[in-house]
Amino acid sequence: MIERKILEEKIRNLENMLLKMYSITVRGVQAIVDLPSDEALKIIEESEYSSDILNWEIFEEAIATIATQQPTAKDLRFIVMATTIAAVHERINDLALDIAKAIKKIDDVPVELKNSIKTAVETILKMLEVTKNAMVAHSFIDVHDKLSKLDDIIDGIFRGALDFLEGKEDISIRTVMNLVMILRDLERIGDLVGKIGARLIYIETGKMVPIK
Amino acid sequence: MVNIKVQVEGLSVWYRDKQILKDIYISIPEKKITAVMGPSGCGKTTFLKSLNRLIEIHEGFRVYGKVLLDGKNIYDPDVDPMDIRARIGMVFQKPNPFPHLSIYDNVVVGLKLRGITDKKYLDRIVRETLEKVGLWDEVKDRLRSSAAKLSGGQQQRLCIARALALNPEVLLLDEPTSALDPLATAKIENLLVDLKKEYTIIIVTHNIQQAARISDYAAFLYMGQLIEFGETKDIFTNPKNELTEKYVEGKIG
Repeated sequence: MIERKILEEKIRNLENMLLKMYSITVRGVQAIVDLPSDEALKIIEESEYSSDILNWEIFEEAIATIATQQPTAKDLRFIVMATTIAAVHERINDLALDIAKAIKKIDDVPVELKNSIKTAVETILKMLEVTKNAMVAHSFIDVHDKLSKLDDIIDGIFRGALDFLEGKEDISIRTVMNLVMILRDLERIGDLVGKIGARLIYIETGKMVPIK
Repeated sequence: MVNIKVQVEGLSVWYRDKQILKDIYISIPEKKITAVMGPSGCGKTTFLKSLNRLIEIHEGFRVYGKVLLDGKNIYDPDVDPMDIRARIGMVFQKPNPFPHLSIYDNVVVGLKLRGITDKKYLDRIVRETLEKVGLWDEVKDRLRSSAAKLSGGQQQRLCIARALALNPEVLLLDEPTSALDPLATAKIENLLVDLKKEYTIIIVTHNIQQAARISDYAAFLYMGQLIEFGETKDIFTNPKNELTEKYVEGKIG
């Protein structure tokens, strides 16, 4: 077998860029539980900005690699998927910032929902770790099942929180609206991490297997 | 910071009453691969041969302008063209080992012509250069066999070893894989990527994809003019000149 040195170097570089993107997202998502502190907001704003820049850098690196190296098969799938995975991370960081802005508008988050948000964030972090480990190990055997189960937990948190809010008459409509937006954004982030998993499976197998 | 190894300033080449190259300025970075591409007849090979004064062995050519190697004009009257051709080696389109010579003698022929006969030194050079081109393990047991018995890809790697034996600083390659199959081509491409750690490499190629794959910088020549020069990734994703764009898109040739 003949090694294609430049192409393989470029693929390694893209993998490293995706790992950097993963770290940025983890930092931003982790900070959600510390909101509304100014420090947490600053971290989320930085993550949103950095992910936007890195998303473009990954896109530029990918199109340069396609233009110069003529990748095919799994190499091509990886390079194209790297651009969409980066875009998904960038979207997750956007949503984290939306959550931060919404929390700022709420005087006080009920304790029950604080716990729900914390659990949802911890679950999202577990999902992100599954995707990172899969990419590093090039092993996607359990990715679908693990991500589906974790995503179900987040969906359950979302439904439970809605039920909780339904029975609350002592919370202003504005607060309820913002809490629903926060919980919906967390649920959406879970879905997006699932999409990262589906893309990683596609790289390995060439088949699109939705994770829901 | 990229060092410039070869600086071309206002290079024009005439063949009898026809101008082949027109006022070319280009800075070739050190220890990088620079690809020179362009359609047939655009002056690529003439340009390459102007860089080590090989152009002078052909009758009817006139060269104007400067080619600076580490800042010294190779066309200055006090420069010996033989020294320049040792410092700037060349590999041609078709593998051209001397068929009557052994593999060993093909590698050291240039050294012997320069009067070097120390066997230990020659043995060391043969091993080192054949290892560099990835041929040592394939031929170490038949160094005294005729080079003509090697495959096309092996012969081309032998020709690269022959050029390296003179310890050049710059390696010029004129479509070195056009006569080879895809596997042999891939081996040569990998070899060039390895060699750029030690040598400045300038490759002329018809094959746009090959230029894209292996070069760090790319120059586009068209009708004797340098249309564009820059980092390969920029030339292939966002060229500045419309002609370059049409060329890399395969719309002119």
